[in-house]
Amino acid sequence: MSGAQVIGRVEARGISRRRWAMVVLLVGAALIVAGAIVAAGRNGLAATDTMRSWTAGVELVVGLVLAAALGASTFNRDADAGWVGLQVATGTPRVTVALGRIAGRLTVLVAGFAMWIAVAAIASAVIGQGGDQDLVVHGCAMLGNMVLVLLAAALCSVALGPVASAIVAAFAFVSCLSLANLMAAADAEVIGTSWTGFITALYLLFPRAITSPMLSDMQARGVADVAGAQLEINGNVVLVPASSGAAIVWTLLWCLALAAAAALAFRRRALS
Amino acid sequence: MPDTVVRARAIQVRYRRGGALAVSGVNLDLRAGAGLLITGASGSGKSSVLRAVLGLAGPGGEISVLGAPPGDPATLRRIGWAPQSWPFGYGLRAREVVEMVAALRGQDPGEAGRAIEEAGVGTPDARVEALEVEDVRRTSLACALVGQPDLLVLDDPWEFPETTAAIRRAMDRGAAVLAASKDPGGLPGLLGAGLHLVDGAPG
Repeated sequence: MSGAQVIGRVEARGISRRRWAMVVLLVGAALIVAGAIVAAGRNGLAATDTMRSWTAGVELVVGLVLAAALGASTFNRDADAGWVGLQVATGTPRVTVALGRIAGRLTVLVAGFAMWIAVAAIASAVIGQGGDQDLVVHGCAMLGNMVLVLLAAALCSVALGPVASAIVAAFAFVSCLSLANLMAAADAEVIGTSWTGFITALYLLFPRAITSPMLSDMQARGVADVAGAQLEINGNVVLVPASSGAAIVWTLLWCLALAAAAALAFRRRALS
Repeated sequence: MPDTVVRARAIQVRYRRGGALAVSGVNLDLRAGAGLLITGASGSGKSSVLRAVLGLAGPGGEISVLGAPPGDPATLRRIGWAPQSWPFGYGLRAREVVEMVAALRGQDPGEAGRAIEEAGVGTPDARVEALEVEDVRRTSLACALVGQPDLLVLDDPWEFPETTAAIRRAMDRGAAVLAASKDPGGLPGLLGAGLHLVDGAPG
């Protein structure tokens, strides 16, 4: 087993036993079940929308908390307390240690989302909505977004404290979300044309929040609630389209770049 | 193994770029089979010197450890490091911490068990956050003893019978021992050479 695998496994095991991580994962699952109970009291499309909006809301809000908290703890406190130093002092190259620590956190995030997606699919089937493939696809899209948040927080945690790292990462995600919305508004020609070039340049350069077909549809109908308010500019409802394959690939490339940047930045960090 | 295990001239440690020097002007010479104890008050730079030798904290000056620059991964695999304080990832068991060190140093899992026994860890299956302070120090010692290294670096070791026995065994088989302690107790007699630090410099 490689050094990164050893560290990744140890980190994932340690984090998954921490009380805060268990609470966040269980709260997410409980809220999805609560959404299913509410949806069970409704009929037809209303029931489907309720189940989907609750689940999407949980994946956004609780997922953001989980991803930011995981990423923000990648280096700072453990580096100051001596835990990261103990890993480096075994002769494991620093880049390997950094990638292992990130991999361990990504494992917990993926496991958390897998659990929520499974709970949502089972709950949806129990209330007669079927397994709901669209909801599964949306869960995967949100996981992609949260990987971006985790890696942004991990990069920040090389130099910043955990709270600052989490806040910066959450802000970065909100910026990506805003950028996708602004690009949709520019495409719909509901904002000044003088801004279009600037917004397009930013959209092409920065990572893009991934929007699933399900969320795009629900946002357009104004039934996504917490997961995505209907976008209205100058009295015009703007349809935020589902992310293209190219947009998803671009965001995933940003994820790789953030992981590499975190590993490289960590090389020069003083350790206890 | 080279006869000179650690040779350092004018060690400098600075934790942040542009920040104050935590250590300056410290020289070290440590030969195979010998010991060196660094003493000084809290904040005098003892731990920083050890971190500089390991390459954990950006060292300045001329430092050679087992014939290589500090932080060289291949060399670090020949060094046993026992950090101070509570340096373990929460959520893990003490045994898992030592097993991780063994796995990363290319040792088999049985070596972790041997090191745990040699260090006398009383509750190896307890989570690290639930360990008594004494077992934290013993777990830290066990991490250093994995793989019978050529250089033992011990930060604030508690003077258990297992600690003194491990130091004696290491020196008898030709390994060098570098330790730092605020309250050295019987360690000076055991390790031989000493270096006292005041405000990051030899005092």
